Amino acid sequence: MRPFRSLVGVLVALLLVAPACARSAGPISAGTPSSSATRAGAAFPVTIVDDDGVTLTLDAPPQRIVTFAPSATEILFALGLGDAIVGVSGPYDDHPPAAKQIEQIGGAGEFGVEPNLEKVVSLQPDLLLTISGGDQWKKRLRDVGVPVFTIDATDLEDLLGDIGTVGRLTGAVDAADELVAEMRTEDQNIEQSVAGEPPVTCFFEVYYPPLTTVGPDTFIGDLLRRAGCASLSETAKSDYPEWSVEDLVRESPQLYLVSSQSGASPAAVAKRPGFDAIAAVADGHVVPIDSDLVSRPGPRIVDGLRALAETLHPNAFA
Amino acid sequence: MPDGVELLLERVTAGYGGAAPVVHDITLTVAPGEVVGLVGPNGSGKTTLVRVASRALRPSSGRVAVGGRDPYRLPAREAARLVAVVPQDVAPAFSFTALELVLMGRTPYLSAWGGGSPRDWARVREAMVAASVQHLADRPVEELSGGERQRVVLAQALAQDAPVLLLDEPTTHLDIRHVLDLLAIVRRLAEDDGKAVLGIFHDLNLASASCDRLVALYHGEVVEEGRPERVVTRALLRRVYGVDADVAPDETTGRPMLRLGPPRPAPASLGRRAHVVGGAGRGAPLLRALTEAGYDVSIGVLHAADTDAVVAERLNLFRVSVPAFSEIDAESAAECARLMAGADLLVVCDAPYGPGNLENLRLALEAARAGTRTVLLEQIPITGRDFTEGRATELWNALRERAVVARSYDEVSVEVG
Amino acid sequence: MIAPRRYRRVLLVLAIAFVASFLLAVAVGAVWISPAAVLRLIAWKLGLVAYPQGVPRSTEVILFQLRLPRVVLAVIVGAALACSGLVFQGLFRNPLADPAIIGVSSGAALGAIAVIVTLGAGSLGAFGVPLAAFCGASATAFLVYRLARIGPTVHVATLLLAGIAVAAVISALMSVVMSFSGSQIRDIYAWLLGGLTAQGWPQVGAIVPLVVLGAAGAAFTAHDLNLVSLGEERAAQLGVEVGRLKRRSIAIGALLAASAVSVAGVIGFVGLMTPHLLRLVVGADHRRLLPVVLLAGATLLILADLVARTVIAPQELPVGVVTALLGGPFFLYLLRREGRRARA
Repeated sequence: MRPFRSLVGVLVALLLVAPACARSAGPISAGTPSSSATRAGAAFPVTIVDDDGVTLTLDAPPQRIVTFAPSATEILFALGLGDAIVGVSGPYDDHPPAAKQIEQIGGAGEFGVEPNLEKVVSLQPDLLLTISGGDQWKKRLRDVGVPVFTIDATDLEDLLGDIGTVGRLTGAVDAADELVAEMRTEDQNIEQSVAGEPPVTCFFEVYYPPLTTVGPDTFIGDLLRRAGCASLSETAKSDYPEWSVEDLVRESPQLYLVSSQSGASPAAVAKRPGFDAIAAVADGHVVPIDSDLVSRPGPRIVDGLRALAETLHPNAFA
Repeated sequence: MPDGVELLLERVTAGYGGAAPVVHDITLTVAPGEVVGLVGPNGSGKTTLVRVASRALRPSSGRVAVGGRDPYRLPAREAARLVAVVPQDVAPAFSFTALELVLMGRTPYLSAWGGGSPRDWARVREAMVAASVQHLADRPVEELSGGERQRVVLAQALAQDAPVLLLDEPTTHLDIRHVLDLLAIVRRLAEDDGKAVLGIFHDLNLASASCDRLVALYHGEVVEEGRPERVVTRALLRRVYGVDADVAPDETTGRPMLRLGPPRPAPASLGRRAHVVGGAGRGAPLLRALTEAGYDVSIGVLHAADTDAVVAERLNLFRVSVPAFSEIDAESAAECARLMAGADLLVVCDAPYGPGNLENLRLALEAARAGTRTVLLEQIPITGRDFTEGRATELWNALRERAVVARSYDEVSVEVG
Repeated sequence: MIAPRRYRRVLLVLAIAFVASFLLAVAVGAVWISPAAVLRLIAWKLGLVAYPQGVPRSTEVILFQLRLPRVVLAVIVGAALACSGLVFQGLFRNPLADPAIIGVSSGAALGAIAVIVTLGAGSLGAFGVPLAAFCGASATAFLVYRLARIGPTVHVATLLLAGIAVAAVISALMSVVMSFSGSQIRDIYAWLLGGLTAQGWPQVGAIVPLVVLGAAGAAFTAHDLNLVSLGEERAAQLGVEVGRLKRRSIAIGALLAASAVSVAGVIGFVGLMTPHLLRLVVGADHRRLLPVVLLAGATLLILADLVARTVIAPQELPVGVVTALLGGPFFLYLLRREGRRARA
């Protein structure tokens, strides 16, 4: 009976510690004053509901921000807040080049797609900006006192709204408004240029094999529409549908876009069985598209839109 | 320990499901201080009956009472204080030492955690000494020999301190010394401690030697019960075990003992009858041979002390006999005549014939004349055997004309088939 | 019977190993927190001393909110799995029994992935998935028990077969559910591989009372489990209520296994190896086995989790993978040992 009792004693000691730990020590950020000038147009405290439906209130402009998406990094840099970023997700945070110098906090979890919670906490951030996904670790971070904000852009217009939201959240309202105006103007220019052109049938390949494309409700789907592409996958029901090669051959689009995510070269595409019957392939209109430009919902999206538009309607931009 | 607890099985019927119960309407009592042996062939229901008594198998009808209480109504712990079982063997799934195993026998008295009081440990020690396993205390049980393990199991049951003890073939793996030790222990438990002991025995001699009473089971029913002399008989052996064996009382103890020899299963009767006229041992070889050939054999008329008479008695054959040195009386003669007339075969042996058994030849001649198939054994010529001043020779020669003459026992066998 | 002195020594060694592993696991992570700092912080938390100098606040948060709950959870889950294995090995009279033997793991998995697929992994607070897993585990254990019950008796051999059959059916159902999973396939897979990531004090609080209850129940049945290893009929002859014991053992084993699996997913081998190994060291008496099995199971899982989160940092291996990599060779070693002994 004695050994059992000593074990019970150990367990009891542990249990005494546990409830004490459940009490949080309060917010963890060190709260060093901002070195940069107070952000123009700020109105704090600010309360915003994010795209996950979570309400966040910040009392002061965040000084130590961690991003967990390359698009978020780009947006913050574009708003002039690059100095405030103390942590990024990983090697994909490569634009602008200064971002590569920032401490990386990703690659954790069983599939390497989660943030390293301990590292995040050790950086003492007062905001973590990210995109959708990872409900479990987001909740953990909130529980330990790190505010998490999710932006999830579904199309270009929504992205512009998100940028404005980030501006309000970080206190860089003026910078945000300016960026949004720039992007909107650029978008309108591009759309006007292609407005008169007849739509070009196109197909956007995300991955092969299996042949995967984008549905109409995706961000890229929106861009394709704006760039004047009549995408074969407009009728798709899901966001990343598998497409039948037979259908592709039958419809025979004029332009075949290959995302850099798929990584196939035009020569490789032409070699695929049945593909040489497609008009785009036969005419040599297979164009690689940098997926960073079209699938990162950030400031460079308009560059991606322009690239798409120019590929689709070269004459309009001659 | 309560003294004087009786085990009662009253009109117990039990089985394992299925059409027929294994034991049927059995009533059995074991009084305190009594050792009762349960005997019977394989499948007769002995183990089933013991399982009913040990609270392992509920009877479909009838009642079980231990000291007047129904063990099936008691919690297992209380029942275990009343009835202890010594199973044939125990093979624990995990390795325990002999001491741990014997301590398990004290379960009905231990706390939930299994802690033992000084009294429990004392009883464990005593039980191990009684079963001669105290020197094996720290040995893991799977390292013990079959006999050692069986004694540990006995110690376990002894430690249980129950007034009723059930033994399931407790001597299977034991060498002769330990068999005797065990039986001595069992007798002591009954006589000195007043326990009621019921044991299954396959060895009838052991059962006969050590039990006060025996109960013989056959096809799930009690066919005989009582003192060993009454139960261990040739007739029972033949009926229940299908064996033809010699049973005789032991000179010292008076208990019936089987005389062991090569097994002679009781021959299936062919329905044919043979009658042998013998004397002076001449008929003996034929008695056995004819019985084995399937004949229902009778012999007569014999004189009591005659060798053939002894053999006939041992073989339990029907015989007509008269006291030694007397003449054959009319009644015996008539009976013999009847037997000869009804026989399919009559064999007359080359025995010496004097005034005392001359009548046999006359009867044989009459039967032969009446048509009974007759075989004469004439290994020894009649001339040396006639003590009747020629009258036997006359009859013999008359028989020769009506019988097949065989010059040896082998020829008789050939003739008989 | 193992000598009391040797038993005390084994217990002492295990206790030291446990404490050392605990301190080591709490020290190692993205930020190294020395055992001295850990102790000072704990003392501060208990209100005994002031906040230690030179220790950033973030370290305190990491320790109490991220690392300590995880290590404590490893202790509870490891102890629960090992205790469950002990009880099942006793009940089935087989040293190769395992907590998963009556389909508990499969049932938990089905419950968990059903919730993940329909409601998402982060829904209903932290409790939706573990709650569904616990219900699935308990329901499966109950189903298997009922299948094995013929009349008033539970046949242990049938229990085993029913567990296998039910696990197979559930496996098929799981495949069907997963085919509807779409984007949650990763969450599902992560859960199935077993892990202690992203678990906090709420999970610990949820299962501690259950595990303590289960361990206490195991203590009560320990002596009876010794007896039942002689065979059910023999145990009954010695005074054990065998039917009641079987029901209790199944309930206790299932409770412990379900608690563990519901928060940590499927972690194999701990429940099998720990009691089996310790039986070779301290003997088969369940009363002596229980404390050492609890300690050893906890220590084993602390160390396995430590390996899981350091060997390919910052990425993590699923804990179940680490225990399997330990358990597989262990099995082979056992096989060879038994083979050698059989030939001898």
